[in-house]
Amino acid sequence: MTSNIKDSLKGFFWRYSDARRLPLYQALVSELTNIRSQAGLVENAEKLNSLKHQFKGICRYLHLELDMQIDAMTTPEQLLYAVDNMHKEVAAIEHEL
Amino acid sequence: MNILIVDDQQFVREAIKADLAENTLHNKVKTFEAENAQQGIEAIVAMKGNIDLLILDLKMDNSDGMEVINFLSVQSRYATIPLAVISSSDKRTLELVNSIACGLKLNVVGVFEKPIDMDTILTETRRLQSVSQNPLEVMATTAVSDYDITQLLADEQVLLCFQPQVDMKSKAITGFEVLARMYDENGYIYPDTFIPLIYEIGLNAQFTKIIIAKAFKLWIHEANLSGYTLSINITAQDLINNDLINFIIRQKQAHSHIKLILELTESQEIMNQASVLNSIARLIINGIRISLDDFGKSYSTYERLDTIPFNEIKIDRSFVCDIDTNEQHRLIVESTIALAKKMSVNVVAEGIETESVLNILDDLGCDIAQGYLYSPPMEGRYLNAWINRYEHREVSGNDK
Repeated sequence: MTSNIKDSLKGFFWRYSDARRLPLYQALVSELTNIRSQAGLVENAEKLNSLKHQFKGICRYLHLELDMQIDAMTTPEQLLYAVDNMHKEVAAIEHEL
Repeated sequence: MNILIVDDQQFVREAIKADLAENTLHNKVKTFEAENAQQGIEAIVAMKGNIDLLILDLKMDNSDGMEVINFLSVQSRYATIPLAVISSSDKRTLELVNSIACGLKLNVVGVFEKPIDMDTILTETRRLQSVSQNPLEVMATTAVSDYDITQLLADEQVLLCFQPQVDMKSKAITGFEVLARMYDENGYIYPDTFIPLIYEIGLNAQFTKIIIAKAFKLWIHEANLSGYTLSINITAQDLINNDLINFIIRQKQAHSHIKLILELTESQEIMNQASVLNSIARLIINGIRISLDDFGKSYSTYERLDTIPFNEIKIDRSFVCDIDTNEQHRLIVESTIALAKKMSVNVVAEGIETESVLNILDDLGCDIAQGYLYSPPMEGRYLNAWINRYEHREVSGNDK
């Protein structure tokens, strides 16, 4: 799974010119940070679904087929785990961009 | 090219901008951003609708794209903005939104699952622009009040536009549907704006009478048009007005060669009134054909079909416009056509914009086609020229 995420991330960023990669990377990190902080404060299912939807949108753009896994998440902890994992992978490729 | 992106996710907005920058047209594209529906609406207003493409996310934090869609539909001056709806929602939700947006007569480029392909969206946007730039089409709109409408009607400031109907087998022109526009010193006013006002004030019968009188005048004056059917919209509200019914019958009796079809659309509550059914019976007895308009749109469609001897069913454009991509709509249209065949009534499909939709309707056995693929509604003065061009094209190329 980890190599799959890493490959998708690289594949996504390398589609764009050097000048475009950094703003995209920063936007992705900012988005994940935002979802992560909100996931820690989830109070109801509606909010959890909203964050899952946002995370799903990001994954789709990165061509990661995680729709079913995200749909199956029932707790904020599961979402946090997935977002954390993604965050680490994103951080790991920063020097390669 | 001005592109407004309304999406609550910064990453998605950046990705769309990056895709646009990679597109060959990047030097000509100027992007604007909004992160929720309210900001999007404010941006549309601030830009005075000068937007070549609106990319709208359906589901946003604390708001949704439907707010913007509803805004576009009630503010008719913005309804022509090319709209691409994007979402990570499931396919059926996307189809529903597409259907709603088409039904509201917005300028829908499409509804797209994320991640979107900007090349596809830009290509489709350009195609729509080329259709809307057809010089025959009457454009522009303005805001009007009850008072304005009353005065405009008194002055008969009504312009008739005509959209051709074509036999799907022979490709011959069968007739034209009349679509009315009103106008004042600021330009043309679309039906979505003035029709509700007219009915609210109770001037609907006067309005219908003006349309029928003007359309008959043209058909009488241009003798070569008499071979074509003349379809005019009428509502059940109109049918409770005896004076109007008498006027229509007198017109038909005086000009019996005119093949008048009244396209009837209205709610079932009124339709069941004895006076309405009585009027329909009188019209039929006097040789006026009745078409059931917007078929499938109302809950009571089949009840109406059972009550009134229609000559023609007109399938609502919201089912037709996307049958090449919407399986459910294709099934609905297919069963409607099959039902019509069993009842021996003609089927007209309106809202045909592409060859792909036309070919499917042809395969399903639809009788008559109407839509922008053939022509947008055009003013009466262009009718003969259009007919000549179409018939010449038929002879030389048979390409429609």
